[in-house]
Amino acid sequence: MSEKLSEPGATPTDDIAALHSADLDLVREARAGRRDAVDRFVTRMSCVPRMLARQNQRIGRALPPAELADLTQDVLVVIWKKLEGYEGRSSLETWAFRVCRLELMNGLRRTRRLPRSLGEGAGDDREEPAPHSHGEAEAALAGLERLGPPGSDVIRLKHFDQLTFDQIAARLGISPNTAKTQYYRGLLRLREILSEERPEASR
Amino acid sequence: MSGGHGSDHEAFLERLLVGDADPGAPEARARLDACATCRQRYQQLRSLTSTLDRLAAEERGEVAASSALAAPPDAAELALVEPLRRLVGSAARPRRVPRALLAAAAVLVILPIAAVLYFGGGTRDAPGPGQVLLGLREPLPGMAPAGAVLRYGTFRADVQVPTAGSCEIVIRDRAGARLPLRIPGLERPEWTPTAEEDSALPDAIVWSLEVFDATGASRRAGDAEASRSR
Repeated sequence: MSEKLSEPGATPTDDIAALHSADLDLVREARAGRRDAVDRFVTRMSCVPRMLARQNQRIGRALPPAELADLTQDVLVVIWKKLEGYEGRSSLETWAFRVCRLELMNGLRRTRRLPRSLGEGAGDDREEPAPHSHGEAEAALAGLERLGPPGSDVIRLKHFDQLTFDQIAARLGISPNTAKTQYYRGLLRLREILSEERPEASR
Repeated sequence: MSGGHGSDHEAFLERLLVGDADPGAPEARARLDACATCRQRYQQLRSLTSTLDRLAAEERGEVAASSALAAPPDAAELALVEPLRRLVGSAARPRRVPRALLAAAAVLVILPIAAVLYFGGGTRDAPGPGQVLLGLREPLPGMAPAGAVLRYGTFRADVQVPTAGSCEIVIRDRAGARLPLRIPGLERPEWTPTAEEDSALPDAIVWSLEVFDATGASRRAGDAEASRSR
Protein backbone atom coordinates (compact mmCIF):
# COMPACT_ATOMS: atom_id res chain seq x y z
CA MET A 1 0.00 0.00 0.00
CA SER A 2 2.95 2.30 0.47
CA GLU A 3 3.85 2.44 -3.19
CA LYS A 4 6.49 4.95 -4.09
CA LEU A 5 4.94 7.55 -6.32
CA SER A 6 7.77 9.94 -7.05
CA GLU A 7 11.37 10.74 -6.46
CA PRO A 8 12.49 14.00 -4.83
CA GLY A 9 13.20 16.56 -7.49
CA ALA A 10 11.24 14.76 -10.17
CA THR A 11 9.29 16.87 -12.63
CA PRO A 12 5.51 16.46 -12.89
CA THR A 13 6.03 14.58 -16.14
CA ASP A 14 8.50 12.23 -14.49
CA ASP A 15 6.05 11.67 -11.63
CA ILE A 16 3.20 10.71 -13.92
CA ALA A 17 5.36 8.53 -16.12
CA ALA A 18 6.83 6.76 -13.10
CA LEU A 19 3.43 6.19 -11.53
CA HIS A 20 1.93 4.76 -14.68
CA SER A 21 4.86 2.55 -15.56
CA ALA A 22 4.76 1.16 -12.02
CA ASP A 23 1.07 0.42 -12.51
CA LEU A 24 1.78 -1.19 -15.85
CA ASP A 25 4.43 -3.40 -14.24
CA LEU A 26 1.97 -4.33 -11.51
CA VAL A 27 -0.64 -5.37 -14.05
CA ARG A 28 1.87 -7.44 -16.01
CA GLU A 29 3.09 -9.21 -12.90
CA ALA A 30 -0.46 -9.83 -11.67
CA ARG A 31 -1.44 -11.26 -15.04
CA ALA A 32 1.62 -13.48 -14.89
CA GLY A 33 0.20 -14.89 -11.67
CA ARG A 34 2.70 -13.48 -9.16
CA ARG A 35 0.88 -13.79 -5.87
CA ASP A 36 2.12 -10.56 -4.29
CA ALA A 37 1.25 -8.63 -7.44
CA VAL A 38 -2.22 -10.18 -7.56
CA ASP A 39 -2.71 -9.20 -3.91
CA ARG A 40 -1.63 -5.63 -4.55
CA PHE A 41 -3.71 -5.39 -7.70
CA VAL A 42 -6.85 -6.70 -6.01
CA THR A 43 -6.32 -4.30 -3.11
CA ARG A 44 -5.94 -1.39 -5.52
CA MET A 45 -9.15 -2.44 -7.27
CA SER A 46 -11.06 -2.16 -4.01
CA CYS A 47 -11.65 1.37 -5.29
CA VAL A 48 -14.20 -0.09 -7.73
CA PRO A 49 -17.08 -0.62 -5.26
CA ARG A 50 -16.34 2.79 -3.76
CA MET A 51 -16.38 4.49 -7.13
CA LEU A 52 -19.60 2.84 -8.20
CA ALA A 53 -21.27 3.63 -4.87
CA ARG A 54 -20.23 7.29 -5.12
CA GLN A 55 -21.34 7.57 -8.74
CA ASN A 56 -24.63 5.91 -7.91
CA GLN A 57 -25.10 8.32 -5.03
CA ARG A 58 -24.47 11.26 -7.32
CA ILE A 59 -27.41 10.21 -9.47
CA GLY A 60 -29.77 9.77 -6.57
CA ARG A 61 -29.06 6.09 -5.88
CA ALA A 62 -30.68 5.07 -9.14
CA LEU A 63 -29.51 1.49 -8.57
CA PRO A 64 -30.72 -0.31 -5.43
CA PRO A 65 -28.02 -2.03 -3.33
CA ALA A 66 -28.53 -5.50 -4.82
CA GLU A 67 -28.24 -4.21 -8.39
CA LEU A 68 -25.24 -2.12 -7.44
CA ALA A 69 -23.56 -5.25 -6.05
CA ASP A 70 -24.36 -7.08 -9.29
CA LEU A 71 -22.98 -4.21 -11.31
CA THR A 72 -19.81 -4.26 -9.20
CA GLN A 73 -19.26 -7.88 -10.18
CA ASP A 74 -19.97 -7.06 -13.84
CA VAL A 75 -17.45 -4.20 -13.73
CA LEU A 76 -14.81 -6.47 -12.22
CA VAL A 77 -15.30 -8.90 -15.09
CA VAL A 78 -15.00 -6.04 -17.59
CA ILE A 79 -11.84 -4.85 -15.85
CA TRP A 80 -10.39 -8.32 -16.10
CA LYS A 81 -11.30 -8.55 -19.78
CA LYS A 82 -9.81 -5.13 -20.52
CA LEU A 83 -6.74 -5.64 -18.38
CA GLU A 84 -4.75 -7.02 -21.29
CA GLY A 85 -5.23 -3.69 -23.04
CA TYR A 86 -4.09 -1.56 -20.10
CA GLU A 87 -1.11 0.42 -21.38
CA GLY A 88 -0.31 2.56 -18.37
CA ARG A 89 -1.58 5.74 -20.04
CA SER A 90 -3.36 6.61 -16.81
CA SER A 91 -3.14 5.36 -13.25
CA LEU A 92 -4.90 2.11 -12.46
CA GLU A 93 -7.50 3.95 -10.40
CA THR A 94 -8.19 6.47 -13.15
CA TRP A 95 -8.48 3.68 -15.68
CA ALA A 96 -10.83 1.80 -13.35
CA PHE A 97 -12.88 4.95 -12.79
CA ARG A 98 -13.44 5.34 -16.52
CA VAL A 99 -14.56 1.73 -16.76
CA CYS A 100 -16.87 2.24 -13.77
CA ARG A 101 -18.43 5.37 -15.19
CA LEU A 102 -19.04 3.79 -18.57
CA GLU A 103 -20.45 0.56 -17.14
CA LEU A 104 -22.69 2.41 -14.69
CA MET A 105 -24.16 4.39 -17.55
CA ASN A 106 -24.59 1.21 -19.60
CA GLY A 107 -26.23 -0.48 -16.62
CA LEU A 108 -28.62 2.40 -16.11
CA ARG A 109 -29.42 2.48 -19.79
CA ARG A 110 -30.18 -1.25 -19.78
CA THR A 111 -32.54 -0.85 -16.87
CA ARG A 112 -33.95 2.35 -18.36
CA ARG A 113 -33.10 4.26 -15.23
CA LEU A 114 -30.79 6.68 -16.95
CA PRO A 115 -31.66 10.18 -15.83
CA ARG A 116 -31.64 12.80 -18.55
CA SER A 117 -28.87 14.49 -16.66
CA LEU A 118 -27.02 14.03 -13.41
CA GLY A 119 -28.88 17.06 -12.12
CA GLU A 120 -32.25 15.93 -13.37
CA GLY A 121 -34.22 13.01 -12.08
CA ALA A 122 -31.92 12.63 -9.12
CA GLY A 123 -33.32 11.92 -5.69
CA ASP A 124 -33.56 14.35 -2.83
CA ASP A 125 -30.75 12.62 -0.97
CA ARG A 126 -28.15 13.53 -3.51
CA GLU A 127 -25.26 15.00 -1.55
CA GLU A 128 -23.26 16.63 -4.29
CA PRO A 129 -24.81 18.68 -7.05
CA ALA A 130 -23.83 17.50 -10.48
CA PRO A 131 -21.75 20.19 -12.18
CA HIS A 132 -22.78 19.36 -15.72
CA SER A 133 -25.37 17.41 -17.59
CA HIS A 134 -24.91 13.68 -17.83
CA GLY A 135 -25.63 13.69 -21.56
CA GLU A 136 -22.90 16.24 -22.17
CA ALA A 137 -20.39 14.31 -20.08
CA GLU A 138 -21.22 10.94 -21.57
CA ALA A 139 -21.15 12.34 -25.10
CA ALA A 140 -17.77 13.99 -24.55
CA LEU A 141 -16.27 10.79 -23.11
CA ALA A 142 -17.73 8.64 -25.86
CA GLY A 143 -16.53 11.19 -28.40
CA LEU A 144 -12.99 10.95 -27.04
CA GLU A 145 -13.15 7.19 -27.44
CA ARG A 146 -14.28 7.57 -31.04
CA LEU A 147 -11.69 10.23 -31.76
CA GLY A 148 -8.79 7.92 -30.99
CA PRO A 149 -5.09 8.79 -31.06
CA PRO A 150 -3.25 11.03 -31.52
CA GLY A 151 -5.95 13.62 -30.82
CA SER A 152 -7.53 11.80 -27.89
CA ASP A 153 -4.11 11.20 -26.31
CA VAL A 154 -3.12 14.85 -26.47
CA ILE A 155 -6.52 16.05 -25.25
CA ARG A 156 -6.47 13.61 -22.32
CA LEU A 157 -2.92 14.58 -21.38
CA LYS A 158 -3.82 18.27 -21.59
CA HIS A 159 -7.09 18.24 -19.67
CA PHE A 160 -7.12 15.07 -17.58
CA ASP A 161 -3.42 14.89 -16.71
CA GLN A 162 -2.99 18.68 -16.78
CA LEU A 163 0.29 18.60 -18.68
CA THR A 164 1.72 21.56 -20.56
CA PHE A 165 2.33 21.21 -24.28
CA ASP A 166 6.07 20.91 -23.60
CA GLN A 167 5.37 18.02 -21.21
CA ILE A 168 2.98 16.39 -23.66
CA ALA A 169 5.60 16.69 -26.39
CA ALA A 170 8.24 15.09 -24.16
CA ARG A 171 5.85 12.34 -23.19
CA LEU A 172 4.85 11.49 -26.74
CA GLY A 173 8.24 12.12 -28.32
CA ILE A 174 6.98 14.87 -30.62
CA SER A 175 7.67 18.59 -30.90
CA PRO A 176 5.57 21.06 -28.86
CA ASN A 177 4.23 22.57 -32.08
CA THR A 178 3.08 19.15 -33.27
CA ALA A 179 1.43 18.57 -29.90
CA LYS A 180 -0.44 21.88 -30.26
CA THR A 181 -1.55 21.07 -33.79
CA GLN A 182 -2.71 17.60 -32.81
CA TYR A 183 -4.61 19.11 -29.88
CA TYR A 184 -6.37 21.71 -32.02
CA ARG A 185 -7.23 19.23 -34.76
CA GLY A 186 -8.41 16.81 -32.10
CA LEU A 187 -10.75 19.44 -30.66
CA LEU A 188 -12.14 20.22 -34.09
CA ARG A 189 -12.76 16.55 -34.82
CA LEU A 190 -14.28 15.98 -31.37
CA ARG A 191 -16.63 18.88 -31.98
CA GLU A 192 -17.66 17.26 -35.27
CA ILE A 193 -18.23 13.90 -33.60
CA LEU A 194 -20.42 15.49 -30.94
CA SER A 195 -22.35 17.39 -33.61
CA GLU A 196 -23.02 14.16 -35.48
CA GLU A 197 -24.34 12.45 -32.38
CA ARG A 198 -26.11 15.35 -30.74
CA PRO A 199 -26.98 17.87 -33.45
CA GLU A 200 -28.62 20.21 -30.93
CA ALA A 201 -25.34 20.52 -29.05
CA SER A 202 -23.66 22.28 -31.93
CA ARG A 203 -26.34 24.88 -32.40
CA MET B 1 -11.53 20.05 -41.35
CA SER B 2 -11.65 23.80 -41.69
CA GLY B 3 -14.80 23.67 -43.84
CA GLY B 4 -13.61 26.37 -46.20
CA HIS B 5 -12.39 28.58 -43.39
CA GLY B 6 -9.09 30.25 -44.27
CA SER B 7 -5.90 28.62 -43.04
CA ASP B 8 -4.75 31.86 -41.41
CA HIS B 9 -8.05 31.94 -39.51
CA GLU B 10 -7.49 28.35 -38.38
CA ALA B 11 -3.93 29.19 -37.31
CA PHE B 12 -5.30 32.14 -35.32
CA LEU B 13 -7.89 29.91 -33.59
CA GLU B 14 -5.23 27.32 -32.82
CA ARG B 15 -3.07 29.98 -31.15
CA LEU B 16 -6.06 31.04 -29.04
CA LEU B 17 -6.99 27.50 -28.02
CA VAL B 18 -3.46 26.40 -27.10
CA GLY B 19 -2.85 29.58 -25.14
CA ASP B 20 -0.30 31.18 -27.42
CA ALA B 21 -2.58 34.18 -28.00
CA ASP B 22 -4.72 36.11 -25.52
CA PRO B 23 -8.38 36.17 -26.58
CA GLY B 24 -8.87 39.34 -24.52
CA ALA B 25 -6.21 41.26 -26.40
CA PRO B 26 -7.59 44.03 -28.65
CA GLU B 27 -6.13 42.48 -31.80
CA ALA B 28 -7.68 39.08 -31.03
CA ARG B 29 -11.04 40.63 -30.17
CA ALA B 30 -10.99 42.58 -33.41
CA ARG B 31 -10.31 39.42 -35.41
CA LEU B 32 -13.09 37.53 -33.66
CA ASP B 33 -15.48 40.44 -34.24
CA ALA B 34 -14.57 40.52 -37.91
CA CYS B 35 -15.22 36.82 -38.64
CA ALA B 36 -18.48 35.16 -37.59
CA THR B 37 -17.08 31.68 -38.32
CA CYS B 38 -14.05 32.30 -36.13
CA ARG B 39 -16.25 33.67 -33.36
CA GLN B 40 -18.69 30.75 -33.46
CA ARG B 41 -15.96 28.13 -33.72
CA TYR B 42 -13.99 29.67 -30.88
CA GLN B 43 -17.06 29.72 -28.64
CA GLN B 44 -17.89 26.09 -29.46
CA LEU B 45 -14.35 24.91 -28.82
CA ARG B 46 -14.06 26.90 -25.60
CA SER B 47 -17.32 25.31 -24.43
CA LEU B 48 -15.89 21.92 -25.31
CA THR B 49 -12.65 22.53 -23.41
CA SER B 50 -14.67 23.73 -20.41
CA THR B 51 -16.63 20.47 -20.47
CA LEU B 52 -13.39 18.50 -20.64
CA ASP B 53 -11.97 20.47 -17.70
CA ARG B 54 -15.10 19.81 -15.63
CA LEU B 55 -15.00 16.10 -16.47
CA ALA B 56 -11.32 15.94 -15.60
CA ALA B 57 -11.86 17.72 -12.28
CA GLU B 58 -14.68 15.34 -11.42
CA GLU B 59 -12.53 12.37 -12.35
CA ARG B 60 -9.59 13.54 -10.24
CA GLY B 61 -11.87 14.13 -7.25
CA GLU B 62 -13.56 10.76 -7.53
CA VAL B 63 -10.30 8.88 -8.05
CA ALA B 64 -8.67 10.60 -5.08
CA ALA B 65 -11.68 9.92 -2.86
CA SER B 66 -11.96 6.27 -3.85
CA SER B 67 -8.33 5.23 -4.03
CA ALA B 68 -7.16 2.42 -1.80
CA LEU B 69 -3.97 4.45 -1.40
CA ALA B 70 -6.05 7.15 0.32
CA ALA B 71 -7.95 4.82 2.64
CA PRO B 72 -7.26 1.11 3.08
CA PRO B 73 -10.16 -1.09 2.00
CA ASP B 74 -12.33 -2.67 4.64
CA ALA B 75 -13.29 -6.34 4.79
CA ALA B 76 -16.55 -5.77 2.92
CA GLU B 77 -14.79 -4.01 0.04
CA LEU B 78 -12.13 -6.70 -0.15
CA ALA B 79 -14.85 -9.35 -0.22
CA LEU B 80 -16.57 -7.53 -3.08
CA VAL B 81 -13.42 -7.49 -5.21
CA GLU B 82 -12.37 -11.00 -4.22
CA PRO B 83 -13.68 -12.61 -7.45
CA LEU B 84 -11.16 -10.49 -9.34
CA ARG B 85 -8.35 -12.46 -7.71
CA ARG B 86 -9.55 -15.67 -9.30
CA LEU B 87 -10.08 -13.98 -12.65
CA VAL B 88 -6.64 -12.37 -12.74
CA GLY B 89 -5.01 -15.54 -11.49
CA SER B 90 -6.74 -17.52 -14.20
CA ALA B 91 -5.23 -15.24 -16.86
CA ALA B 92 -1.86 -16.78 -16.11
CA ARG B 93 -3.04 -20.28 -16.83
CA PRO B 94 -2.68 -21.85 -20.27
CA ARG B 95 -5.74 -21.05 -22.33
CA ARG B 96 -5.70 -24.27 -24.33
CA VAL B 97 -5.21 -27.75 -23.04
CA PRO B 98 -4.45 -30.56 -25.48
CA ARG B 99 -7.55 -32.65 -26.14
CA ALA B 100 -5.74 -35.90 -25.44
CA LEU B 101 -4.78 -34.59 -22.00
CA LEU B 102 -8.37 -33.52 -21.36
CA ALA B 103 -9.65 -36.95 -22.33
CA ALA B 104 -7.15 -38.68 -20.06
CA ALA B 105 -8.04 -36.37 -17.19
CA ALA B 106 -11.74 -37.00 -17.76
CA VAL B 107 -11.21 -40.75 -17.52
CA LEU B 108 -9.14 -40.41 -14.37
CA VAL B 109 -11.68 -38.14 -12.70
CA ILE B 110 -14.95 -39.61 -13.90
CA LEU B 111 -14.18 -43.29 -13.36
CA PRO B 112 -13.55 -43.09 -9.60
CA ILE B 113 -16.58 -40.84 -9.09
CA ALA B 114 -18.77 -43.21 -11.08
CA ALA B 115 -17.42 -46.14 -9.06
CA VAL B 116 -18.19 -44.44 -5.75
CA LEU B 117 -21.69 -43.58 -6.89
CA TYR B 118 -22.31 -47.09 -8.18
CA PHE B 119 -20.85 -49.05 -5.27
CA GLY B 120 -22.31 -47.30 -2.29
CA GLY B 121 -22.17 -43.57 -2.67
CA GLY B 122 -25.04 -41.34 -1.70
CA THR B 123 -24.52 -41.53 2.02
CA ARG B 124 -24.02 -37.82 2.09
CA ASP B 125 -26.98 -35.51 1.55
CA ALA B 126 -26.90 -33.71 -1.75
CA PRO B 127 -26.53 -29.98 -1.29
CA GLY B 128 -29.62 -27.88 -1.87
CA PRO B 129 -29.99 -25.07 -4.35
CA GLY B 130 -27.31 -22.44 -3.94
CA GLN B 131 -25.21 -24.50 -1.56
CA VAL B 132 -21.48 -24.67 -1.99
CA LEU B 133 -20.30 -27.71 -3.87
CA LEU B 134 -16.80 -28.34 -2.65
CA GLY B 135 -14.43 -31.20 -2.84
CA LEU B 136 -13.25 -30.70 0.72
CA ARG B 137 -9.65 -31.43 1.53
CA GLU B 138 -8.58 -33.10 4.74
CA PRO B 139 -8.48 -30.65 7.63
CA LEU B 140 -5.07 -29.57 8.86
CA PRO B 141 -4.15 -30.60 12.43
CA GLY B 142 -5.84 -28.49 15.07
CA MET B 143 -8.08 -26.59 12.67
CA ALA B 144 -10.52 -24.49 14.64
CA PRO B 145 -13.33 -23.56 14.52
CA ALA B 146 -14.77 -26.85 13.33
CA GLY B 147 -18.20 -28.37 13.76
CA ALA B 148 -20.90 -26.64 15.79
CA VAL B 149 -19.69 -23.64 17.76
CA LEU B 150 -21.25 -20.76 19.66
CA ARG B 151 -18.87 -18.24 18.12
CA TYR B 152 -16.10 -18.69 15.60
CA GLY B 153 -13.34 -16.95 17.53
CA THR B 154 -9.79 -17.40 16.26
CA PHE B 155 -9.31 -19.31 13.02
CA ARG B 156 -6.18 -21.41 13.43
CA ALA B 157 -4.35 -24.62 12.69
CA ASP B 158 -1.32 -26.35 14.20
CA VAL B 159 1.04 -26.09 11.25
CA GLN B 160 4.53 -24.72 10.74
CA VAL B 161 4.99 -21.77 8.44
CA PRO B 162 8.29 -21.86 6.49
CA THR B 163 10.73 -19.00 7.03
CA ALA B 164 9.51 -15.92 5.11
CA GLY B 165 6.42 -17.90 4.16
CA SER B 166 2.83 -16.88 4.69
CA CYS B 167 -0.67 -18.22 5.22
CA GLU B 168 -4.00 -17.47 3.71
CA ILE B 169 -7.41 -18.08 5.18
CA VAL B 170 -10.51 -18.14 2.99
CA ILE B 171 -13.95 -18.27 4.55
CA ARG B 172 -16.84 -19.30 2.34
CA ASP B 173 -20.56 -19.19 2.96
CA ARG B 174 -21.79 -22.81 3.11
CA ALA B 175 -25.02 -21.74 1.42
CA GLY B 176 -23.09 -20.04 -1.36
CA ALA B 177 -25.15 -16.88 -1.01
CA ARG B 178 -22.23 -14.61 -0.16
CA LEU B 179 -18.82 -14.00 -1.62
CA PRO B 180 -15.80 -15.56 0.05
CA LEU B 181 -13.76 -13.57 2.53
CA ARG B 182 -10.03 -13.95 1.92
CA ILE B 183 -7.36 -12.99 4.43
CA PRO B 184 -4.01 -13.27 2.64
CA GLY B 185 -0.49 -12.57 3.86
CA LEU B 186 -0.79 -13.94 7.40
CA GLU B 187 2.56 -14.51 9.09
CA ARG B 188 1.11 -17.14 11.42
CA PRO B 189 -1.57 -19.78 10.79
CA GLU B 190 -4.24 -17.86 12.65
CA TRP B 191 -6.62 -14.96 12.26
CA THR B 192 -8.96 -13.48 14.82
CA PRO B 193 -11.92 -11.52 13.52
CA THR B 194 -13.11 -8.53 15.45
CA ALA B 195 -16.43 -8.99 17.22
CA GLU B 196 -18.06 -7.10 14.37
CA GLU B 197 -16.40 -9.24 11.71
CA ASP B 198 -17.21 -12.43 13.59
CA SER B 199 -20.84 -11.44 13.83
CA ALA B 200 -20.98 -10.63 10.12
CA LEU B 201 -19.75 -14.08 9.08
CA PRO B 202 -22.34 -16.56 7.76
CA ASP B 203 -23.76 -19.05 10.24
CA ALA B 204 -22.53 -22.01 8.22
CA ILE B 205 -19.08 -21.80 6.69
CA VAL B 206 -16.45 -23.79 4.91
CA TRP B 207 -13.04 -22.34 5.56
CA SER B 208 -9.58 -23.16 4.38
CA LEU B 209 -6.06 -22.46 5.50
CA GLU B 210 -3.21 -22.63 3.03
CA VAL B 211 0.49 -22.33 3.84
CA PHE B 212 2.92 -20.86 1.32
CA ASP B 213 6.71 -20.86 1.31
CA ALA B 214 8.88 -17.82 0.61
CA THR B 215 8.51 -18.27 -3.15
CA GLY B 216 4.73 -18.27 -2.94
CA ALA B 217 4.43 -22.00 -3.61
CA SER B 218 1.67 -23.78 -1.72
CA ARG B 219 3.02 -26.20 0.91
CA ARG B 220 -0.02 -27.35 2.86
CA ALA B 221 -3.74 -26.72 2.77
CA GLY B 222 -6.82 -27.99 4.50
CA ASP B 223 -10.54 -27.31 4.79
CA ALA B 224 -12.93 -27.36 7.71
CA GLU B 225 -16.62 -26.81 8.13
CA ALA B 226 -18.14 -24.91 11.02
CA SER B 227 -21.60 -23.76 11.96
CA ARG B 228 -22.64 -21.31 14.57
CA SER B 229 -25.83 -21.49 16.58
CA ARG B 230 -26.83 -18.05 17.78
